[in-house]
Amino acid sequence: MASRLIESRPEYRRKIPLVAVVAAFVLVAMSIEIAPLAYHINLSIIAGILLGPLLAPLAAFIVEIVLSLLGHGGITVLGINFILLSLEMVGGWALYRGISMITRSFITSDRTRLKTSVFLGTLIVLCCSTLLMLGVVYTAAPGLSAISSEHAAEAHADEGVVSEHTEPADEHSADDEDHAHELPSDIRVFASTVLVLAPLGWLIEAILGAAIIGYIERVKPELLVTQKRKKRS
Amino acid sequence: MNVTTIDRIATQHDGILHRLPVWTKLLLLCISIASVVSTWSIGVLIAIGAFWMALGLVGRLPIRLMLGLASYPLIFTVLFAITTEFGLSVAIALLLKGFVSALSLSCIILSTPYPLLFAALGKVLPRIINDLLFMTYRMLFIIAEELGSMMLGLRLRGQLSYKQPLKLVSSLSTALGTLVLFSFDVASRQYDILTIRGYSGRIHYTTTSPKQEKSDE
Repeated sequence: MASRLIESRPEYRRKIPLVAVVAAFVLVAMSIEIAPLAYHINLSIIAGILLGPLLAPLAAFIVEIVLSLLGHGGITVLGINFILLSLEMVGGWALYRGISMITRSFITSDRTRLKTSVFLGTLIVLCCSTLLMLGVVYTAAPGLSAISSEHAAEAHADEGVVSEHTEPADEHSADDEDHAHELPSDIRVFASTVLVLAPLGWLIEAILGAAIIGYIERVKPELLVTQKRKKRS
Repeated sequence: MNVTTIDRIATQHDGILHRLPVWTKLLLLCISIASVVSTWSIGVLIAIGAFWMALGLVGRLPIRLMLGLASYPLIFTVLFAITTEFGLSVAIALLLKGFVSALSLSCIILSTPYPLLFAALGKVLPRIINDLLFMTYRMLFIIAEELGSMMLGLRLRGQLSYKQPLKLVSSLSTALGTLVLFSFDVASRQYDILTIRGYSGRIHYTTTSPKQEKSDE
């Protein structure tokens, strides 16, 4: 949709290098590692704020393609990675705008309001995207569980072992279906590990995002001025 | 993720893989990834991995870099494999799937210059995505160089010490904020340059490698 919009409206042509440069910025930012924590920053929310909801998914797609070409993202999960990164960018932009509007009445300082919006927006969006990622893993778990059972059955068959675990095919698939309902136990440890480690990353990202927006507001505030405000002025 | 090194190897090295046509390499890659996705047999996955390793060795690619690039997905897959209860064989297959698909891609990007790869991808991707890929690739080097010199400056002034986290956050955010402003300037300059060169919403690509062009001359 965004690609069609750019092609149909020549005024958007000027935005092409901007999308490319923001995608490159996100890729370069990802190479900065917070060494003691082995965490690399993302800055997807900053990219979303700078590009807006129409162009941000394009940048997300480019970032994911380049990452997958470098073996960093995984070519087979390009689609889901693109959806998650796009949601981070678009959701980050929406929350930034929303929180900024809500807090307008009681936070008078522009810079404090922007920083608060980015901080809260980043925390909420990253929390949601982590939960979405866990949701994807949860939906993939039944397949993995079935494959795991098949492997176990094959191993038993190879050894010539006839035991209570090697049921006929029909019983086996019925058993798998039963297991599918209990699957959270399979990924429970993974989910809790991710949910224990991830908040630290969200916090670093939120603090850095707020500080970056504060810096941009101080040096070049026109980059953060909304279209409405531009028309008014 | 050292893009400059990857680019240098792809354009300047000479091996069998470098001389293969892009479409042949992409076809090999597609077959390999389709096999990796569809199989759960550890033996088949090891065989595909060995095939790409052999190609890398024959094509005189830097094996350490190839393995380094391919091991990125392992970090996350190991976490998943350790913390879930799907059994040893599924865990090994999962690790191999991530590793082998990344290995095949690293083989391709280390032996194919990006412009050729993008020109080939341009046949299947929307034009705008292809142009964006090309521009992002060009700008990646400019921005990475700028960030590198900024980080060096900060490090020399002792601003990136983990013992003082507040100072670290302040310095890092200033550097990244400056990088955002720099990026906007680069984007604007890039558009002006493209317009002067007759850009009308489409970038034209060469389908020959720099070496071929040299030999034609």
